[in-house]
Amino acid sequence: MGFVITEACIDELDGSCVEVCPVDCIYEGARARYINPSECIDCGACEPVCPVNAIFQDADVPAPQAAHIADNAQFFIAILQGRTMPIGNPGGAANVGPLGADTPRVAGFAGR
Amino acid sequence: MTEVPSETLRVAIVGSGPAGLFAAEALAERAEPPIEIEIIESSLTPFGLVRHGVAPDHPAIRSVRRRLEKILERPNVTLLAGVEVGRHVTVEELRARSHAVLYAHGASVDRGLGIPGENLAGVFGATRLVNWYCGKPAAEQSGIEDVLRRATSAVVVGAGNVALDAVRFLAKGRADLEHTDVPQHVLEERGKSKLREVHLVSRRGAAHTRFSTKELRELGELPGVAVVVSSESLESDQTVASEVSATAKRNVELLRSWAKAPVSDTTERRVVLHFHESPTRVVGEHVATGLEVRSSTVALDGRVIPDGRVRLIPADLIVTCVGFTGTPLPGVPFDAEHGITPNVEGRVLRDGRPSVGEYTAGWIKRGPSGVIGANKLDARETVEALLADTPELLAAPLRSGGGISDLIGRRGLNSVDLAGWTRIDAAEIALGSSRGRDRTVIHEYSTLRAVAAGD
Repeated sequence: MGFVITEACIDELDGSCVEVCPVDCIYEGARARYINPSECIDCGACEPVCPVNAIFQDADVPAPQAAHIADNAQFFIAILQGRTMPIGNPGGAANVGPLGADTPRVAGFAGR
Repeated sequence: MTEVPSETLRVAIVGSGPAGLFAAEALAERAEPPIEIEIIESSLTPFGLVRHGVAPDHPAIRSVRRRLEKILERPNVTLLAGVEVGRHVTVEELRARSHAVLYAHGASVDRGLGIPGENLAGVFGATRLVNWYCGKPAAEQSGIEDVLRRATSAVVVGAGNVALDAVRFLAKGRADLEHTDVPQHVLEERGKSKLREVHLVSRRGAAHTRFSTKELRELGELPGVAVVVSSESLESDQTVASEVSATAKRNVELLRSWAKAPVSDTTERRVVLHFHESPTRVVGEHVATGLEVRSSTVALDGRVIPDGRVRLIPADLIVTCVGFTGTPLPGVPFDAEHGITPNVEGRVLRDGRPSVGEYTAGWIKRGPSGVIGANKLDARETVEALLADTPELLAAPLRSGGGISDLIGRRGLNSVDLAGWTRIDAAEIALGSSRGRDRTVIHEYSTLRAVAAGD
C-alpha cells in the first residue's frame, strides 16, 4: 500500500503528481488518476504537490473518501470497460500512456 | 592539443544521486541532439542518499534504486564511480572535455547547533550516524561505535524526518533490524546496545515540526518501545495546528493520542518527546553527559524564543538533526550563505551571470529539502535550460573527444562502471542470503573495490 488519490481528482487531472513521482506509478484514467498500490514506494512526493489535496497516505484518507483506497487498487486489478485484460503492473505510466477508462465508481461520479 | 568539433552533445554530471540520475534520464531520452552522458561519482557505489541516507527500515523507498538502475542501463549513459572531482579530476578538465557540466553533488553536510559544548565527544551530526548505519565506507572512523556501545540515554535534536529516522534507529534492537540491509557489523553493534531512553528535543512546537505523519506514526509502532509525551507540551499547538496545515493537525492529533495513553513500565525502551525546548549547552568534560535545554515559546511570526525554565536531560549520545548544507566543489561558484551553487533555473552563475556550459540540479541547486521525487521535477527544469542552450554549447569545440572516461583511463584510475555496480549488487544479495537476509550492504572500501573489479 501507499498513497491514494481520492475524489477531488475527478475531472481535475492536474498531473503535478506525475511530474514528481520517482517511480512513475500514477496512471491516467479518463476522469481521474490512480496510484498503483503495488508500484508505489510510499515516498510521499505526490501528496504536497496536489493542487486539490486529493492525495493521502492510505492510513490518513478521510472517512468519507475511504472507498477510494480499494478503488485505486481496482483500477489495476479489474477489467475496465472497453478492455479485455486488467491493467496490472505495467512498471511505469509512461509505458502505457492515458488509459481512457475509469473504475465504475469514478466513471459514475455525478459531480460535486 | 587538437580541438574536436562534435555533433554529439557531451554532458558530464557530478553526482549519481536522484538529482544527477533524473537529469541523466531527462537528457538521455531525447532523440535530438545525440547525447553522451558521463556520471562522475565520488563514492564507489552509485545512488547517493538512496544508498547512504534513506533509512534501512524504509525498504520500499530504498527500492527506488531499481528505478535509478534503469537510467544507468541506458546506452548513452556511463557511470564513473570512485572518481572525486578536485582530487582525481578537476572541474576545468570536465569542462574541457564536455559541452556541459551539471553539478548534482548534493548537500549533506550537517549544520551545527551553534551552542557551547557541541564539539564534545559523544555529539554527532545526523550524517555521522546515518552514513554509519547505511554502510558508507569509513563511517566508523567518527568513533560512533564506541559511543553507541556505552550510551544508556540518547538525545536527538531536530524537528524533521531525519530526526525521526535517528530516533527510530536508536530505539530499535537487533531483531528489529535483522530484515533490513544494514551491514552485518551494524546489526552486531545493535545487539550490544544498552540504550534505554531516546529523547527527541524540538525547539518548535508540535504543530510547526516538519514530520510527515507517516513517519511520526512509525514511532508508535516500535515493538517494545513506549512513546512518552506530555499533554501540556501540546496544548498551545492544538489550537493552531488546523491553521498551519492538514499534516500539522494530523500530527498533533496523533501526539495527543499518545499523551493520553497510559505508559507501560514493562517496555524495554522509552522514546520521550520534548517540544518547545531549545538546546542551550552540551554538558560534560571531554565527553558529553547531557543536554541543557530551555523551554521556549513561539512568537506570532514563527520565531522561537527561549524564555522558560532550564533543565538538563542526561545523555551520553547526542545526535543533531537540524538540517544540512552544501559544500563547495573546487572551481565551482558557491553561495556560502545558502549552501548552494548560485544559479537561475539551473544555469550556474559566475559573477552574477549565467556561465555557458555549467548547470546544477538537486539539493546543491535549491538547498537541502524535498523528497526523492522532488528532484525529478527539479532536474527537468535544469535539463530544459541545458537543451535550450544546445546550439551555443555545440559551437564550442572540445579540447579532447574522448570524454572523462578516456582521461580517467589514461591516468590509470580504476572507476566503477555499471558492470562493477552489478557485481557489488549481486555480492550484497549473496552475502545477505548466507545469513538469511535479503541483502547485506558491504561497507569495506577494499571489498567494494575488489568485488567491483571482479576479483
